[in-house]
Amino acid sequence: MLTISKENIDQIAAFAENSFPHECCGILFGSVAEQQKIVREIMSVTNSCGNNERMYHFEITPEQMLRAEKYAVKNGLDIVGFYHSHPGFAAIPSDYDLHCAFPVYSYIIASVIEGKTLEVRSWTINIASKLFAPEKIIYN
Amino acid sequence: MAVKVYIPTTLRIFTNQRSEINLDGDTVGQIIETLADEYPEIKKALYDDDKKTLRSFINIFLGDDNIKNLDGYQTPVKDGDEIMLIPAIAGGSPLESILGEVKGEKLSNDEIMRYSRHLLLKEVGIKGQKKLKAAKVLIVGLGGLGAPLAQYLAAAGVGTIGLIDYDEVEESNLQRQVIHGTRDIGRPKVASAKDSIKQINPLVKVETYNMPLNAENAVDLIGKYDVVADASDNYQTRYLVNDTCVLLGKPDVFGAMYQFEGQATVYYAKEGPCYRCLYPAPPPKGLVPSCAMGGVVGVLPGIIGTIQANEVIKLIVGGGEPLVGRLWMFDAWHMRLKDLKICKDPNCPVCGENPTITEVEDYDYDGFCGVAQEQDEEEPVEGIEAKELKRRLDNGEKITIIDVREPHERAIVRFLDAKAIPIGQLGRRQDELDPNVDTVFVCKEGKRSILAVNTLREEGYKGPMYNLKDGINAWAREVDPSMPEY
Repeated sequence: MLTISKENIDQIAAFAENSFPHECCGILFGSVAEQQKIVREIMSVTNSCGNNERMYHFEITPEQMLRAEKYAVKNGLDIVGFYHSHPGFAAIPSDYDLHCAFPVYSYIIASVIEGKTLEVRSWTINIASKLFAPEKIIYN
Repeated sequence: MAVKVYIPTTLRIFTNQRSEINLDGDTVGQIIETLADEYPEIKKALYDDDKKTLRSFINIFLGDDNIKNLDGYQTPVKDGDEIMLIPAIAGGSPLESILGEVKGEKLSNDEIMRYSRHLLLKEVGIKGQKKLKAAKVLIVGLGGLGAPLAQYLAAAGVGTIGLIDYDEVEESNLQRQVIHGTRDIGRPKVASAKDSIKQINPLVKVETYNMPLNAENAVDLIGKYDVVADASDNYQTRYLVNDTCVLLGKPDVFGAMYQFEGQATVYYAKEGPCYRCLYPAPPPKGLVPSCAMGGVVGVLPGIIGTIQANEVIKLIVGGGEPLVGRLWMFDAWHMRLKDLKICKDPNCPVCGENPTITEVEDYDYDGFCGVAQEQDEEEPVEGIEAKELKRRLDNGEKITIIDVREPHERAIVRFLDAKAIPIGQLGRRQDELDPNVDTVFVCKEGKRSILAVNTLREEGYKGPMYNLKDGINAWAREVDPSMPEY
């Protein structure tokens, strides 16, 4: 279960539209306890893939991740997950998403069709099956 | 030295939810080992299956520096240092069109009518059809696989289709190469195929190359196209197409078949394995017979070639689940299908981490595939022309003729009063040959008969042996036109 504000979801939808036809990506900060994740703030990050590849992949550099982890430590937050967009495709994790996924984190995906964000969903890895399972979003 | 290690959220399931752990050690390696000793479960997440190499998707930072840029595990630490374990974060949508965004293409009313069944599919639609119109596809080989590929891609509205083949249409092609007709016998395959494509869809631009694809022209030719469909029938061409596609970053939509079995996949090094990842070297020459030697059921290339056409269309339109990293294997006789996962080889000489093949121009494809050394390695086999054999038989010379063909082939056409001995039995039946008499071995086209002579030589037979050059087919052409060729 992922608790997040409506404003944050709207921001993610707007980032996704502004980046179209490229994928956007960013980091979710908050707290994790007993399967409950709460998002306190989100950070938009530059997609470090090349110009063409950005249309169907995203990557966050290790240096960006280091800065994010330090920011989290300094502000008493945890990294609880990430978001990215699927330009032209559904808000369902791709095989590549699964290949790159880590347990615990929430993976929010925004589906952008013809420049408009139509759907935002969250997913997390089921540790037993090692597959993505949909994660319920609760607005606070 | 006391060092503080920060654990990312995802790894805290292994550290009893602790986010910061103080550990002692002199180097980064020692600290990580101590961590793994205290929390053994974390090893699964940190190390590869060999339990030594750190997984590539975890980066270790000492202060602000990635230890990859320092001395790795050997990097010394001092009191008060901080180590952060940082997961590598990436992902993406399903494979987009290999064409990216297409601008400036328009569909006329005639085109909208012609392609309406595509336009009704939301997965293709106007956007996908414009991509097909903008796309350039090269088909290598206009035989059994190339025929349906060319027909369906033309019908689908692929804007530019390149055709490369240096063969002419033969009667024995028509059982499966449905793009050619009876009246095309003797014409270059590319010319015959171009006519058929124009008949199906005059809107398609067709570029023909009546020449072999070789290491000199491959980069120029393949460079002009967005995707290559490999419908060739030999290993040199397959390796050449693969290597050129890897080096130019293009997908190679592959198909192959033999008798009743076929396979198809998409070799696309950007996204998955290439042909060399799967087959580092071709099989020894002569081990795998060609369709001309072993036969093929005529429908099979139709099935495999249309699978290839479908993959080409998906790559152009984008989306779906392409056969990248998957090998699709089909058995038409038992009607079985397998869909195998295939993996990239990090040590692949062309698409791996340290490639040794970086250009194709100077690569000896014939040598690599054993074509050039064929004559050097084996003692040459003495051949006899069909007409010369006829002359000697007419002179009443005593000659033993051995037919090494399979029983079902002998049922197609008998050869004189030849004695039938399959190659597998030659060794143990050599007593049936008279070493004082010339023995001539015959088969369909004079290749298996060479193998027969070499086999008997290895078995120690000392009598004089000859190979009927170009086989029974040559006899039918040059000596006895009443006999069929097959």
